[in-house]
Amino acid sequence: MSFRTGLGLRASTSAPSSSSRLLIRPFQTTTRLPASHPSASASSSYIKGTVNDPTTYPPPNATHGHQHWAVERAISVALLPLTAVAFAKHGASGVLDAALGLSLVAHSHIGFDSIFNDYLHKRKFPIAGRIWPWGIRVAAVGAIAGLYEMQTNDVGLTELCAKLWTA
Amino acid sequence: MVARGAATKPNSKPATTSLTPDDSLRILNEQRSVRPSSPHFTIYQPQLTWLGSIANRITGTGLSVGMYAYAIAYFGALHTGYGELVSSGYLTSLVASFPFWLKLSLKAPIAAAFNFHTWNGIRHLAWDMGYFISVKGCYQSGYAVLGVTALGTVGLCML
Repeated sequence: MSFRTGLGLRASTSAPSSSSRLLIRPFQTTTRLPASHPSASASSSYIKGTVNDPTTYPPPNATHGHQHWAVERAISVALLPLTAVAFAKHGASGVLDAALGLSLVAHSHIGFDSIFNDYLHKRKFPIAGRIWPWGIRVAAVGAIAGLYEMQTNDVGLTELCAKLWTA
Repeated sequence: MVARGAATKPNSKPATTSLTPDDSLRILNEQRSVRPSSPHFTIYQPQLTWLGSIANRITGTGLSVGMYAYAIAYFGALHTGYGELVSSGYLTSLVASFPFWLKLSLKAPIAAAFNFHTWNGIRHLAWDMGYFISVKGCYQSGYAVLGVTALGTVGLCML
């Protein structure tokens, strides 16, 4: 007669009782989790469906293909000559500032997207994982608006960096 | 809770309870939520590979957050009446008034982050084209990036 249930969770307790006793592995005399432990009353389901249902595939997304990767690398490559020209000819052209500023915001946006997907994926964080994409989009729009105002009312991105650096 | 095992009495059967499948699943989910994870990040030997990788991410994040912060602050300040505080003229005269040690301690980390991220980014693009994809190539290119970063940081700080 096996001492383990099919799930390996409990055996040889006489009756189901308060949920805190469920958090003790069988045949161990470990202390139970305190009731203040955040997982003591866990409600998120780690297993979707039953234990016999297979894991689902992630839903397909048009932005997850190789072209997205290629655009990301193209922006990174484009930043190299743009940065070099900016070092040499800072403040000379609004077109340079616009190209550099937009490329930098695009590059940063892709970077932030990767970071948040790694640490705050919606699979594990159902609420925060659905909020951050909008947060970084708003931030990107704000950054572009700010760069535009810097170009219109002030000396622009490249000249500002040059002046502050050599001040 | 007293552990009961078969060793106390041969052929004895422990008392069990019957659970519905829903209860079993609920217990499993509760147990899963308190499952600890093995130490990984705290025990992995520091190596050029992953240190360089996380450094690329950290430097990129820092530079981007700085740029976003200034651009958004500029936009906000302009439309709430504090435009003077974020203008290039004011900031330039402010930085010019700093002592040399303060200027250097502000410029050095920015120069280092910018250099490392740029040169390591080129190393990343080389990987994408198929170069340096071996342990030896990875380490040689990694040390080269560190060397060029040091030179570039010194060079930028001298400007």
